[in-house]
Amino acid sequence: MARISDELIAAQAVSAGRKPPSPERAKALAAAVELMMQAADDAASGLAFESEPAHIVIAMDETAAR
Amino acid sequence: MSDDIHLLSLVELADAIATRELSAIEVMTATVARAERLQPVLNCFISLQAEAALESAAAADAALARGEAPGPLHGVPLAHKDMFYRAGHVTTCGSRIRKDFVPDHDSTALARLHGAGAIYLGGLNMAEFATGPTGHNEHWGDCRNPWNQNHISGGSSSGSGSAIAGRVVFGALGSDTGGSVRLPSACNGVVGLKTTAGLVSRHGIMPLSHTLDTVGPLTRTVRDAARIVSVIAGHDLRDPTSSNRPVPDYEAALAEGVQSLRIGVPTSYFYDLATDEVRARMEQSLDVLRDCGATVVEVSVPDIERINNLSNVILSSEAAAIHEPWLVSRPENYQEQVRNRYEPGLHVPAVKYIQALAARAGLLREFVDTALDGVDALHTPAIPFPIPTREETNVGGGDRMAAMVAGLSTCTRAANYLGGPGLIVPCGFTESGLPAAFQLMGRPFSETTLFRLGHAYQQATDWHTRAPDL
Repeated sequence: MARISDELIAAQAVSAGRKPPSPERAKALAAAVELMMQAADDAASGLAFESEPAHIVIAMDETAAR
Repeated sequence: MSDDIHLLSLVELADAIATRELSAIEVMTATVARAERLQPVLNCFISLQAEAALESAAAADAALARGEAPGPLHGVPLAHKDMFYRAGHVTTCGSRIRKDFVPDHDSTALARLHGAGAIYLGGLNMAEFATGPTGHNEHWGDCRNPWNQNHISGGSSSGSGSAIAGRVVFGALGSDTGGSVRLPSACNGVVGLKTTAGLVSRHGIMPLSHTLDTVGPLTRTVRDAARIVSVIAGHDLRDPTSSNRPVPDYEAALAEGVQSLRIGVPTSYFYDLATDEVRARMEQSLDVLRDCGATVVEVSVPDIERINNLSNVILSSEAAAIHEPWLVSRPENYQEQVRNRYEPGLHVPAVKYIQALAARAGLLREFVDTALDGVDALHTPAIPFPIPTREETNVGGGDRMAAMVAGLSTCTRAANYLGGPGLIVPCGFTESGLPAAFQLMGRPFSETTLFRLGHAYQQATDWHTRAPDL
């Protein structure tokens, strides 16, 4: 079930001091954000508790060409 | 030789100037004349700084006459995507918002090129704020593909691709956040390298995504790209993400050949949108690499679509963070498609952004353990279908347009999330007369290997010597 509604997009814009998007644009934004959130959810489900962004530096070093 | 100067590769030209077979002023005079003649056709420049370039060329000749040792790019005319800062000079970033922006410092990459003797000829056209894979630009005019001006030049480093293919300049820098060096390379039939994250300093270039941005060259040959990367790569105190690794002699490594190298061909994802003629060009290029001595095997790849979606989380969030003040105060100054690209990032929760970043390490390991298991490089199409027209990819084209624009970068986006390099090598033409190209992806810091494979391919073929009739 989608967690990002058109209404939430509009409310976020207003609360951040921005002009609310048109209803059509809010719908498109909600769909785009929902897709990205699902990808992040999926990735997060396999993340170790200690995972952190800086670990990419170690991974790049350990997988680098020799 | 003067009539054919524009047909020389960067390395051939640099060597001819170093040995005084050609003078830098003779080269620059011919280059400026060609640039001015072709600008109405290609619109590849945003600014052409002919007078300063001619003065620099005269100074380069004087230095040689005094007996000074030439650098590896002595007297070579280069131009770059108009987002590499030069102190005191307007850098537009392809935008209206920054049309009068004057930075107060030089980019490290340009400073290193200057130190190697290269001469700056001008700022090249680009997608607004490096956002967009087609080369459309409402503010500065669309950049044109030298092979057919009705077709896209690719983006976002559109002018870089067009200027190299049009034989206007001999090398150019671009930036690559999801394919912005590689797509114009593929569209225009030139070599382009997305460098490993951290290999080249990002200091003094316009930011789009702090995590995904990289700097890379567009050139006519792989050897040319190797020479430029040898100059610009290496640690920079002003970019804390730059790598401390020693920089290999990329050009010398080309002589090692490819006899011991293994190439992986993906069994999923990268060919999902591929047309028959693109498949045929890919198979032919693999045949050539086999003939060169490389071994070709099939490999499985992880879920690339998931990687692309996570890449979107990061790009949207970071671009929105950078552009938020202008998105609020000057939304009308953005092209619609650029604003649309950033806006979702304003609504992505910080939790999801951090999770997308934290997942990178594991997904890189998974990619290396599967797609690069037992092979030195992954061979894919650069773009899975023939290069579309400008009209087919312009705004207002509906769902078909949106799908085609998104499809352009299906094979390139993952490399930015994963951090490794991607090399584009032209490999012929499709029925429309536009170039086709393959991509080689590799482990982090495997540029040497990718260069060896690309160079071997170019030694066995002559696609890189074909020039459009301009």
